[in-house]
Amino acid sequence: MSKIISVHSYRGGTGKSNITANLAATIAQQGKRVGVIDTDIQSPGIHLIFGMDDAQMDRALNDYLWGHCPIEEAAYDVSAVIRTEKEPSLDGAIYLIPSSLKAGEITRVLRDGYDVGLLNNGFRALVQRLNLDYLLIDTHPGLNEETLLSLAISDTLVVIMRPDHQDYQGTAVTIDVARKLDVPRLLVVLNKVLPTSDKDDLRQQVESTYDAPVAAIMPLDEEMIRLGSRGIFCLRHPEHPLSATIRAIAAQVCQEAS
Amino acid sequence: MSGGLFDRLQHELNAREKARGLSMADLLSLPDAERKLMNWLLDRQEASFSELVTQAGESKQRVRAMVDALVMQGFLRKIERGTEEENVGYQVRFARKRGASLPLNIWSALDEKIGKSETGQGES
Ligand SMILES: Nc1ncnc2c1ncn2[C@@H]1O[C@H](COP(=O)(O)OP(=O)(O)OP(=O)(O)O)[C@@H](O)[C@H]1O
Ligand SMILES: [Mg+2]
Repeated sequence: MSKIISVHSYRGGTGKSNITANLAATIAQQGKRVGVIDTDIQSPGIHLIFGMDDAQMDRALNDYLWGHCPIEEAAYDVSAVIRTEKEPSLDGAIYLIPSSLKAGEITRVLRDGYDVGLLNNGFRALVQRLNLDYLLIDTHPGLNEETLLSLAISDTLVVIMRPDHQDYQGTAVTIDVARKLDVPRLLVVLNKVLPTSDKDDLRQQVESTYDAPVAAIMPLDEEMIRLGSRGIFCLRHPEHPLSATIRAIAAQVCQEAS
Repeated sequence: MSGGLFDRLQHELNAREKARGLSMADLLSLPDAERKLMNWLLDRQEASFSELVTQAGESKQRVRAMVDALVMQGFLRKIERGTEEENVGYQVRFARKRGASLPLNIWSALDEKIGKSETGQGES
């Protein structure tokens, strides 16, 4: 059974796109077929982390939503990112469905709207036609129609938050909505935590506030800032402690719900 | 944006037709029992009436009333493949996401600006 995983945060800039890309790479390295879809139609960006630029992109989620093509035709095979010279023949694969970067195409979706039923069917079609083990959904912050739909159909929701008062409030809203939508499994990731913070205390505080498990605490990391979304961190720095943390999140995401 | 009265009426009618169906906000504001059933159906994609009864865990009459009301509100779509009950399927009927209601002149101004900056991008 394939699994749909949404990565969300109530506020922007928490690390959703980077964490999504790193989870996708980690899971694909384990031989799984992973889809990544950018539902952040208003402010897309995850393709950059996979090293794809605008010029290479001739189809996007937008084309599917306008009925120009079946959704799998907007999927790019970006598996090359996980094929190293040492291990060229991995079974895993990553397919990326980007959102359009053309200003005209972004405003067109905002202006004209789109068929939400089509987006729902698109998620299922991707899983089936690309034979995916996992579909990871990168979302727009806040709660818009795409985000809510993504939550509603997810098997697991990964909520990212920073140790910040506004994030605390916002996360409460997301978790409340996720429960109303009967999301079977919730995982919280604390990101950009100061390395000097008391992690146990933080974990306990968050777990008791939301009654949901903290999958990991990720420190604010200089190397990550330096990378600046120009690549997939855990592939560049596999030995780095942050990569081990990402692998730990991946393990929990992939763990069968009991 | 020219066009006579008829065009505008037609536009309004189209907009209303598109507005029918379930939005995610509608889903969140349904009563618990209805919401739970719709959440389940979202994952299932389609179910027969008897499957809905089993899932809801309530009496047939109660679920019938619930399902009929959801169909009436335009939140459920009935797929009739035959007349017998087991040949009727139910699916969630989504609303079209409506475009942002910015004044029309803002969109045309944006279009103009974007049209200039995206050379070769004939569309939109
Ligand atoms: N643990 C970390 N340490 C340092 N920098 C980080 C960390 N995690 C993410 N970042 C940086 O934070 C910035 C925002 O990350 P990212 O784009 O992934 O967030 P996002 O939640 O997807 O943002 P948006 O809401 O705009 O989509 C990026 O520059 C990224 O490199
Ligand atoms: Mg992002």
